[in-house]
Amino acid sequence: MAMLTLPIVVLYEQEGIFIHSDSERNEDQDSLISGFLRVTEKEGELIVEYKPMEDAVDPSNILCAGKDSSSVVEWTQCPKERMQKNVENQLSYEAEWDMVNTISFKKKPYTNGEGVLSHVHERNKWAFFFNVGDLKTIKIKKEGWPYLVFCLKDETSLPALHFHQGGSELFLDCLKKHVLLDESPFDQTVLIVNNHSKALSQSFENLFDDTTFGLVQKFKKDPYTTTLGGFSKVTNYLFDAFRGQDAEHLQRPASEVADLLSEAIPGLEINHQEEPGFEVITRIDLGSRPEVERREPVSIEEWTGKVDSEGRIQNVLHLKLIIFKGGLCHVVRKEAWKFLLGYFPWNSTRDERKNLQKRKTQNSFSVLLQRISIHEFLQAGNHSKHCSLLFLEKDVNRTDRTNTFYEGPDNPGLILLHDILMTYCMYDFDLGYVQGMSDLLSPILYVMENEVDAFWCFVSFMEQMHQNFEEQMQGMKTQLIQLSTLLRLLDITFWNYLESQDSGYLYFCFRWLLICFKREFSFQDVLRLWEVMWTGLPCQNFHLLVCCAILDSEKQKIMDEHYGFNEILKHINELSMKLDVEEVLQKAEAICLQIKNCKDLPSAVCEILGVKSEALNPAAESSEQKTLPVKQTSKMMHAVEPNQSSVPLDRDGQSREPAQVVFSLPHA
Amino acid sequence: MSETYDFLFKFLVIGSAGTGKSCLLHQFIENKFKQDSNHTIGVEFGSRVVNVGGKTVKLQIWDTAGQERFRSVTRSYYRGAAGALLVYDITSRETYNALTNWLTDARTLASPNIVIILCGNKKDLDADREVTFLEASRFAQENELMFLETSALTGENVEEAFLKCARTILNKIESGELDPERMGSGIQYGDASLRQLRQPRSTTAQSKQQCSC
Repeated sequence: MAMLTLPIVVLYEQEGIFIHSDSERNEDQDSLISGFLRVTEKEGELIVEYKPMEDAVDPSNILCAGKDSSSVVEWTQCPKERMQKNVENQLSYEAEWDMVNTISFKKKPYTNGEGVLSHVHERNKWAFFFNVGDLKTIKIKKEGWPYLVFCLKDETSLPALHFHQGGSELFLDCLKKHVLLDESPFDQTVLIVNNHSKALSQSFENLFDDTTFGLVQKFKKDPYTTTLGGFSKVTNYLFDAFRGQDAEHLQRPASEVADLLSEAIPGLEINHQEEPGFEVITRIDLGSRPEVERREPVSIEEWTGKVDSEGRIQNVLHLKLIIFKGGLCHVVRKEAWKFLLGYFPWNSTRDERKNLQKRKTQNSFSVLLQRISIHEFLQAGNHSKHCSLLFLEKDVNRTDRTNTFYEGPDNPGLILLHDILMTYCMYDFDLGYVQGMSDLLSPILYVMENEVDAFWCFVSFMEQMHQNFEEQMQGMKTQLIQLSTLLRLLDITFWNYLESQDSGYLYFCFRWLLICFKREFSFQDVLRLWEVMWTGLPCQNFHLLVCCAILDSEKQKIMDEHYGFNEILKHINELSMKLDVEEVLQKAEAICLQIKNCKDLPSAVCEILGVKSEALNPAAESSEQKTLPVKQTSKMMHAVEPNQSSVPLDRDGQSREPAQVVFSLPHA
Repeated sequence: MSETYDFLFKFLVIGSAGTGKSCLLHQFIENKFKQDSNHTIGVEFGSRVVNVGGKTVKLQIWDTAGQERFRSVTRSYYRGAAGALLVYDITSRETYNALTNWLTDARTLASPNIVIILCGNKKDLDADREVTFLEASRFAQENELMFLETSALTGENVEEAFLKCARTILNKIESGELDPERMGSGIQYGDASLRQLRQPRSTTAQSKQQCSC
């Protein structure tokens, strides 16, 4: 039976890589072997392969031809002295590897046909390959042409590969995706290959090349230099070292450990000064968490009380504050969300808003019309856009289908959801549809009950959420890093625990952040949470404190039960629909106050939350919501006037008729 | 106290968006079709204890988001999976064409020895079929996969898919081909005493035999 094998996947390939085969005399007489380096993957094995080029266009031919035929390569006979001149830090040359095994061979002058053959043969002697699992270290030299020297676990050193055409960084990046490359504590130019199982978990971790994570990694890899770089910053690592992963230590009160520490290192002072690119992780006494209270949702009376005769909203800050404290009654939402999301300016009059709505209706209608032609264009070609629209179709049919507003077949709510997402795809053509968007739109449409308003509110919301969905997911990376910074401030013990369980990257918060807790709370609670967050109070990135609040309630269980990577994920996933939104909001606000009251906040934290180290007046930062620019230039089209729904709503919006929104084309 | 089992296997359900991964998982765990299932964001999780060849095995199953954009995230959940259901939709050639990518991801990121069963889901929608059974079984053979056509709607072959995968892993453990104690094998013993019982047998490892075919 023929062996069925997996295809070989080429992960990296680079030409113009040279072996300087004999540099004993001087550099001019180097015999250059030109070849290509390749990293391939087969059946899960990662192979690094170097092969000399077989074509004639090769500088080494010329050099070789001009060479004395007695030039002998003696890899195994006296390699040490010779190579150490050439390549430093090569320790030994035990003959294991093909080329090295060839005791010595003569470089025949390149003369006739026979010569070509033997030339090729000779060149092939320079070929080598090895399994990355057998790789021990890589020495890097970057001056001039960068070169790399591989040393295998059996102490075999391969000849230096000179990257005349560049590509050494790419090569290392490629390896880093599969193995850990740690800088040697003894020699900065040497990378130690760490092949342990962690290699497989790298993919998401690669998302984080931020310096925030850098220090932790750096310290693990290279405690010497990091320590010398700022001894005072090591305090917490020492703290962790004391703590270890020992359950006993876990329970040791922090203050006690701190005492131990200062006893151990008298005169130790924690330096709060930060250096650029160097994340200071210091243990800060946050003080006690204040009690906060929440209030009743803003009623219709309270709302209308804030509106003057021309329809302007008075005392916006106070209004935002009471929305932050209690949310909105459902009847107020349809109006209030437009302000909160920035679709309506707070200081606009009723008439201005009417005009705005009219303009926006025309705009979105022109977008809608364009959609038809673009849709045709998409069907003609663009594959990825086509795929993204397929997802859109699929996802619309599986978004909140248990909600009365979207349930059942051919539900008009569903059709609107689909059309708005379609329009948005045309509006933000580069982004297209990404899974999760339907989750963000669904509550907005549910509240607005109108295609145009829902569309523009969604556009505003997406302005905030855009980065989460971009190709490189920069928004997600940034937020996870910021969250990590906050968690370390709030409870370094818990953060260290997560780190010890390979969960320091907080992937388990991914869904929370991507779709703003949409799947974590009940539909009605999501409405509450979002309106509270849209006030922009009490600090920037309040949603990260919401994450902290949820984790704060779960951390004890996670640590007590000694949950590992899988269990943490499972536990966090299973919190879905079990969280109490008021409780979470209350705790998040309390955490915010606690942080704000703290004197010596690290500047990274201040930056994330947009606070100063001293307690800050909340009034100072509630900047006015900016109005959103219209991306699409409007073509004047016949306006579509939506017949605004006049269906009475009950308080919680549960028992309403599904979508009452009807669009009709006016007579021309 | 916690449930008892002989082994714990970590499983993945992977494949393009909308192929029915979550529904397969739901059908397997709950024995019914999840009508109004939301699309998965990030990963979801399910587990069930099954009986395979006289052994109780707890399957810990991770169900991943299907859209390409999220692959960098879902990949981080692949680590140490012992088995995988690789799912495509028989009514969508696009989902079938994407299989190679998913397969590569699974073999490189989970474990090279990961046992994979290919599932052509939505078998009930035969009228809309775009991928024939023959074509897919050829693909499965070429890539050393097991293969079944399944229906998360009717439940046909769903249980079989998971069990077949589990049985294969168990056989490989018993033959010594898979070593549960290797890091990242995706297999854990449910009971420490079992390990002692098993150890003498594993010394007669037959792993060399597999190369001679």
